[in-house]
Amino acid sequence: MSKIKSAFALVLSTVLILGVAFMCFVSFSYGVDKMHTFNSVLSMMAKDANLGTTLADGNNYVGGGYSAVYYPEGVISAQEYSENLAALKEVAEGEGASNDAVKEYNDYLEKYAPYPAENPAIYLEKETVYGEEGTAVSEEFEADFAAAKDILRARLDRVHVEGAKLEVRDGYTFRVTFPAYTGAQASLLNLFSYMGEFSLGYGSSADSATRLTFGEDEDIHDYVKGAHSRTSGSTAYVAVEFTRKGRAKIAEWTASAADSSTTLFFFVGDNAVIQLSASQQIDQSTLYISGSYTADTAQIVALTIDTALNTAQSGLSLSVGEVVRNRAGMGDLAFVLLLVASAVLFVGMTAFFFVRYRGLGFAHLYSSLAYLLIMILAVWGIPFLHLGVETFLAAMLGGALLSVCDVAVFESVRKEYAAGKTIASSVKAGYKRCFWTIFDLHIALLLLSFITYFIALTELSVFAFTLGLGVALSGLCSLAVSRFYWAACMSFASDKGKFCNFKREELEDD
Amino acid sequence: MTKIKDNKLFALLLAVSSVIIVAGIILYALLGFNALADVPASKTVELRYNALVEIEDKEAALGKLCEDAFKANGLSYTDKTQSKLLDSNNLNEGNESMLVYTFSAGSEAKVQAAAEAIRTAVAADAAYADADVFVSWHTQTASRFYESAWRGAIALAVGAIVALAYVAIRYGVSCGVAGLVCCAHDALLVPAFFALTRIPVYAAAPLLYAAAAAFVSVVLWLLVCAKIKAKGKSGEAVTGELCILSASKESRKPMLFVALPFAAVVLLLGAVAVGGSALFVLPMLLSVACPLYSVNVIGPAVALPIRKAFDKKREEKKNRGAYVGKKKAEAET
Repeated sequence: MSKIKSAFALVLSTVLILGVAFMCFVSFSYGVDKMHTFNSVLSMMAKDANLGTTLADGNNYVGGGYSAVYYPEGVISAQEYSENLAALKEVAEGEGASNDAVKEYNDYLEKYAPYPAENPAIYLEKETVYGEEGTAVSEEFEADFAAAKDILRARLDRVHVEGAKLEVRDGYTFRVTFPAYTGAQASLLNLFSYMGEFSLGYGSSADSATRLTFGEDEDIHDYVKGAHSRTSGSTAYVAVEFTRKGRAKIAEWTASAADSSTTLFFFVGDNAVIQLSASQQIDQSTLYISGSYTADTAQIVALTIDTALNTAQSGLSLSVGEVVRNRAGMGDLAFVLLLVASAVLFVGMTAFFFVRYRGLGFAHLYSSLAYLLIMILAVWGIPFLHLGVETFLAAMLGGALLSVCDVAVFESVRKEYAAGKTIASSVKAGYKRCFWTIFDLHIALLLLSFITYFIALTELSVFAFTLGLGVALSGLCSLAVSRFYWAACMSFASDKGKFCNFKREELEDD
Repeated sequence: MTKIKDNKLFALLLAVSSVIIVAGIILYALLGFNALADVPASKTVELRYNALVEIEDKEAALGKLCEDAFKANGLSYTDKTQSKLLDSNNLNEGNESMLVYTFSAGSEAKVQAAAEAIRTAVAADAAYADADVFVSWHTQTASRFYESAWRGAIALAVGAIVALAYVAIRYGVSCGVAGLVCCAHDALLVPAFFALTRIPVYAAAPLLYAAAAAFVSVVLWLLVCAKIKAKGKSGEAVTGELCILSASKESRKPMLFVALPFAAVVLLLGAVAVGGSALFVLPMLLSVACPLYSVNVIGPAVALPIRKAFDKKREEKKNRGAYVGKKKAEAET
């Protein structure tokens, strides 16, 4: 490469790298009263429930998650109980209080049992939870609660987000936690609380809808097989699969839809999760319902229906209680410290190259900077990727692989040069000697990573994909980018061997 | 390596690994991993209050009041969060806030006593009269998810088989099979170790450790394979057996050199990034150490008899005058 071409290539790529690095790492506020903010790619990048950072405006937080408490019917919080009781007491003990008010207060006292008895965290409505004349939680309630737990677990398991958590709280409530990067959070919170059987209906409104009735030895599975979501282009669908009987029933219900429109209702318990207005007869074995769904909301609706259909039923209805925004599970500092650790590692590896190969360190520096910045942009740009400890690890392992490959090539060239070849033919021979080993290594690792990604879920899937991406980039950077910058940097050196810290082998004179 | 083969140390080492793996699998089936890092059971003391506390800057004082109560009851919290309560329909912030202290250890009685002490102190302090501070305590028990665990195990197994099938095509069956044995050994031994030792881990972490071990194992084993191929091509080693023996011996130094940056990644991320992430990353050192052992000891010992058997078969074929392949015939002449 000529000196002019090299200078041009180096200046251009340096400017490009600095520009992208600025975009990736620097956040600041500007303008009058710092009204505007520029957020770095790293700070805006979606983060899992364990990591999080505040954006440059100081208000918005990226990362962490949401959690909500679900109260089964008949279970209320200690706060709700004490507030209701205080209100009734005020009326009952007020001036000129009626007997009804006193009775209402006493009834309320009698209606609920504290749980646990001492220092209660929740209150249980005796009639609902104990059953009639019961003195302890009924077996029926326990069974319904266990079934509700299974349904919630199935829903959270199948939404496939890492950091999702289901906890039994105070014995008889649930706390659901999921990361903030999950799409359609409000839909998830509300739809996942729907319990009860899946059923179909039609009519003009959900309350007055005619529900599907079953014959002897029949249930909903004789009509509906399941539900899943699908995205085609920018449109997301909820696909409900019917059996032959189900298809006929829907066709029957919508037979006169061309004359007067009919609305189909898809219920989970008493909640209508889908309302579909039909203006013509529907006669399909799989009904694709679009509407205003995003890919995330369609997935959540389909999951809610499918789990209501295909898991054990719970007679409980759940209501959403306290909802809070959680900050990073590993603490706010974790993200910054991971960045610091990665930076130390990067500097350490680069320093090794400068010490051992002098000027050739620049070739590795450019190559690893290209690797790092492309990785950051890829994690930011690929929708299903987000930043977590496993993403950091995978990216760093890929970086370590790049360093190892660069060392292997540089050492191979060093040997060729020591044997007496010119630097140009040493580089050619060195790369030729290492090419197939590096190629095989990357192909084997790519197969391992991407196959793992396609089958695995959540953390492992993200780790495997990021690792696969890192391996692919490492191969490209090692075999192409490093070589290019080697040629570009070396064209300025008068003593090329010295530039690379390579020495000729000293031959013994016989 | 020859020494290992002769004194049957290899069989002993393989037996030890097998025992650890089997015991780990049994313990995992019975108890799972010790997912203490995920706080599977916790107690919380929660304070819910209205905007007045925030407006009048009483949040710090309220926090101090709570922390004094915990201290008096011999409790130390593992996490403290302060957040606004959200509207469940649109997740918009409301006027109420919540201060939550989480305890992973400590008895329920102590937590209850601390909550009661806070309740009394808040009621006695006129500063909180209009703040509607409500103090409650709660217990939480986390549920386990299974689908990601079994899908992850299958993913790793399929990924390793396909990757090592490629190695078998490029470097010969003996290298492919030995690589697969090493990979399976590492991917199983690492999680088995955590199941056995009950070291606290995040629930999803052992699978990641297994994946990292498989990754490092493939990298290190390919170094040996490349060396074996180079030896075979150069004609330095007369037999396939000698090829493997000398290649594995000569690969030890480069292997250490390759393992070093991987270990550096794990150590630095673990050491600098303190707290939860350190707990996540540091155990991964085992994912680097285990492949170093297996690729040095188990890999060559498995590859040797397979290579010998193939060499023997080829020799017989050659003696019969059967076709052994153009390249091989040319190489031998």
